[in-house]
Amino acid sequence: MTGAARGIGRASAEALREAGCKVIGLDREKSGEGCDVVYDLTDLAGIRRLVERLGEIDILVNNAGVQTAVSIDRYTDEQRARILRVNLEAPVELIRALSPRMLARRSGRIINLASVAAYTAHTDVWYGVTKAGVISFTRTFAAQLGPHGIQVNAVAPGPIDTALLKNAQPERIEALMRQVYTKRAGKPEEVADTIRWLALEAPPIINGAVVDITDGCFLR
Amino acid sequence: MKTVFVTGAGRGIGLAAARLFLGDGFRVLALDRDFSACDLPKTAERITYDLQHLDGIAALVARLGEIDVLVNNAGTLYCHPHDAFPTEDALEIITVNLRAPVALIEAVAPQMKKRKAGRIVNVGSVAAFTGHPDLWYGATKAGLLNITKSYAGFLGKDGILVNAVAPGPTLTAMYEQLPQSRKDAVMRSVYSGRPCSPDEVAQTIFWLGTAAPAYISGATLDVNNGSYPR
Repeated sequence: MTGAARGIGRASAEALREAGCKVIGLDREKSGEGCDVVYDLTDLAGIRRLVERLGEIDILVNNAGVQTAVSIDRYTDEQRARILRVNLEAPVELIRALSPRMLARRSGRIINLASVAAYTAHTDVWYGVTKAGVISFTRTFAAQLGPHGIQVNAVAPGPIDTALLKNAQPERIEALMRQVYTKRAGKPEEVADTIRWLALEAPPIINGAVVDITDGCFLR
Repeated sequence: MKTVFVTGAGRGIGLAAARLFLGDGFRVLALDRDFSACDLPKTAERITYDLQHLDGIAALVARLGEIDVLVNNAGTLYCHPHDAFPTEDALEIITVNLRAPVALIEAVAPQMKKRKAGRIVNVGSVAAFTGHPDLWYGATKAGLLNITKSYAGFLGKDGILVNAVAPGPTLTAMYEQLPQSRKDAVMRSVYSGRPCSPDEVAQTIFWLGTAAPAYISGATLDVNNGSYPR
């Protein structure tokens, strides 16, 4: 579980732990109990070595993600590089590093965190782009690994009560909350429940799917 | 005890779904026009009804008591050529696949609103995302996904969740009706080299009808294994 120290990652780690999984939580800084591995995912070159020392992994949840929440004219090169690495390149590297052993066992489940940001215009251009990219690589890996018994799916949450939402641009938050049926932000636990279902229970035929958790927000 | 109402429960996906709810302790109301292929235990209440009779739906639902979960599964497909589609059959598809689900939702919505709870699961199809050999099947399934979003909006503030599943080609009697070209296309595209099993679609319906978090509403869950993805 990447990004396991807080928000959706933390709730998902708890949900899977309650369901009997041994959870290895990764985060970039040690905080609380959620973090077993301190690692900054912008360090792409170290991902293979990291995965090698973690042993057998049955379920990968690519949860770690960042949002810069600045307009395009103020985006720095560093900010762009960082969001592309954390949201897109690192999850792909993790799948590439983990999938050979899943292939050898002919089983494994991978869940990627997309977002409704993938479907529409976004005030943080690179956030939208990276989340659309997550859906693309979810389908690509589902097609490549699916014939060998590996399920690759994604969830696309709407506004969820996390630090990332609090940090979002006000006009973005307003656009999201205008649409939700129940006028509330979703709970991290609701995304966690969905991730747990995809990780443990969803039938094998669900592959390459994106489960929208949006309460009416930006329905596709 | 919670009650689920499953249409088209006499066979295929509906039958598999009814069985899952039954296994979980639900009171199961199973509707179909034909139960001859149905092996549901006696504990499920069978309702023989042809959903083309839209006018009788409100009265039917009124005598069924409390319904916590509605599964709009019944559907019709003919696969006539587009340029020789008998009007009567087109109307049957539109009635069963679109108008009956709407009538059923309208019939159960007031009691769900009163209880501020309820779940509705509509059975769409990947046919909604692509063209389909049966013009009206594809059109009505696309319509059903749209209806899912509309009612999720209409009923969402009252605590009612409305979602859909969009199965790929599933091994049911309907699958046998598909032209060979469609079956070949399916097998070329699915990752696992097999069509969906009714039980896999049923498991997804069951999750949406029971445990799926409340923030999932207005959504369509793809159960397709790579065949005809949107």
